[in-house]
Amino acid sequence: MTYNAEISRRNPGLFIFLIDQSRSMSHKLGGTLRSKSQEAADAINRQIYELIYRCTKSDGVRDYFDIGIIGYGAVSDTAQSLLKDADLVPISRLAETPLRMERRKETITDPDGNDVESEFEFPVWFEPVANSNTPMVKALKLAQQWIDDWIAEHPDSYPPVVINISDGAATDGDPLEVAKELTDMSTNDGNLLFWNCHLSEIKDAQPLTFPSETGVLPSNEKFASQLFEMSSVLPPSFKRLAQERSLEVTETSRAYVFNAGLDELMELLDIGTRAPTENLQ
Amino acid sequence: MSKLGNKESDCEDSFSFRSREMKFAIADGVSASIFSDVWARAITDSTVTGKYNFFENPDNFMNDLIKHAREKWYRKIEWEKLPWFLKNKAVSGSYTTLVGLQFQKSGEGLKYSSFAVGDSVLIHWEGADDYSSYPLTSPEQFDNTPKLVWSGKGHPMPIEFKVTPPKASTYSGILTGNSTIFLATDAVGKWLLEYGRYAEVTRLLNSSFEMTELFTREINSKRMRNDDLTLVSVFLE
Repeated sequence: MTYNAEISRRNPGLFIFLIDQSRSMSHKLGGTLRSKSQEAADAINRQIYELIYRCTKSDGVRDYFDIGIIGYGAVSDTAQSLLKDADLVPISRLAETPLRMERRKETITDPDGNDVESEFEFPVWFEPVANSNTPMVKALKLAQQWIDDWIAEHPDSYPPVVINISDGAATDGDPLEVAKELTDMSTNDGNLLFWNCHLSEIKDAQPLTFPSETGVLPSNEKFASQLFEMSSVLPPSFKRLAQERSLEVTETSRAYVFNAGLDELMELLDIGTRAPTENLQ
Repeated sequence: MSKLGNKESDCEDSFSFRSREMKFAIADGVSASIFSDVWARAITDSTVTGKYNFFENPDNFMNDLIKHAREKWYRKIEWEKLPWFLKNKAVSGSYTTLVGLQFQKSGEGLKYSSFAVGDSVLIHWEGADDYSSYPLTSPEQFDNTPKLVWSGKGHPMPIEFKVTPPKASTYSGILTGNSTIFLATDAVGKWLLEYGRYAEVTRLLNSSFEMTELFTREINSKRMRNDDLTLVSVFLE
C-alpha cells in the first residue's frame, strides 16, 4: 500500500513550496482587491504555521518534516532558496526563525460561555514579492536536485510533496517535461506528489478545484491545461479527505486548483498537508 | 515504556497509587494536544489523593476532581515563558483518558469499584480464558475517538475555568486470591484482549527487561501498536 508510511523523526516527510515571484504576481487576483503575491505569501505563511502547529509537542517542535521554499522570478531568470543559508531545513528551524511576528485576534469562549476576543502572535516568514520573469523550469529543476538527495537519505519515508503557487506563465521553457520527471520520483512508499495552485487574474472565471479533465478548464487561460497536466492524480487517501469536505473528486482528479481565491488555495494546501500529517507518529 | 523511537521522558502515560487508601489511577495523555503528560500526571495524582469515594457515583466528584487537577496542570506550566508555537497550541488545553480503581476489604477478598473515561481499560483476569474487561470489552472497540477528560483552556484564560466533566462509566467486582486486575493504556489493553497473553505478562512482572523485550517484539511484528505503554497489575499475596 502506498502513502502509508509512518511520519516520524526517524522517517520525516518533505514539503517543498515553490512560489512564483514574477512581476505578473503583482496583478490583482480575479474578483479580489488583493494581489496574487499577497494571497500566495499569506497562504504559505498560514500553511507553515499549520505544519508547525501539528509538529509541536510539549518539548518543542519535533522534526517530523523537512521544509524547502523556492522562490522564482524575484531576480531575472533565477530560482533560489528563500531560506537563509539553507536549502532544506528541519521544521523546528522555521519555528525559531520567523521574519517577524504579527498580533492577530481570535474568538475564544470564556469560562462563562461567552465569546471573547483574544490576541495571539502569528509568525510571518515571507512577504509578498513580485519582480521579474517566471523561471519555473529552473525552480522545478532546483527542487528535483534537492529531492534527489533527500530521497537517497530517506528511501522509506512518506513521498515528498511539492506545492507550486503560480500564475502559470513559465518564461524559461516548457515545465511539463521536468514536472513529469518530478512526479516519477518516488520513495518506497509511493510517487512524489506535485500540487499546482493556479492564481489567475481573469475576471469572472469560475474557481475550479481538483478537475478530472482539461475540457473543464477555461479556454481563455492558456496555461491552465499545462499546470493541470503537471499535477499529480490525487491518491486515494487524499480523495477521501476531499470527499469528507464535500468536494467533488473522481478517480482521475488532479491536485490542481484554477483561479483560486484564498479559500480554494487554502483548501488545496490544507488537504495537501493534512493527509501526510494524519500519518504522524 | 515510551513509544519505540521516543525518549523515556516523552511518555505521556501516567500511573499513581495510594496504598493506604488502596486507590489506583492510570491515564493516557493525548499526543495531539500538548502538555498532556502534565495533565495525565495531574489527573492521576488528583484521583488518588482526593477524598473521593469511588464506590459512589462519579458524577458526585468528577467536577471537583477536574478542578483540582486543572489547578495542578495550570500551575505547572510557565505560560509567560513559552515560545509562540507552544503558547498558541497550549491555549487549547490538554486531553487524557482516565481509569480510577479503589478497593475495600470484604470477607471473600477485596471488593473494588472503578470509573473510566476513554479507552484505557481495566481487565479482571481469573485464569486461562476467563476474564472481563471494561469500559471496552473487545479489541474491535478501540478506535481513534475515545471519550476524554479535558483540562479546559490554557492561558490567557484564567485558572478558574468551568469544564463540563465527561460522563464516566463504572464497574465493580471482587478481587480474590486467584485473580489479577490489569490496568492498561489502549495499545497494551487492546493487545491483551486480542491475544489473551495474561499468563505470560504475569510471569514477566518482576522483569521489566523481559517485559520490554516482549512488547518491543510485539510492536515490531505489528501485533501491538507502537505507542506509549503502561500496564499495572494488582493481585493479592
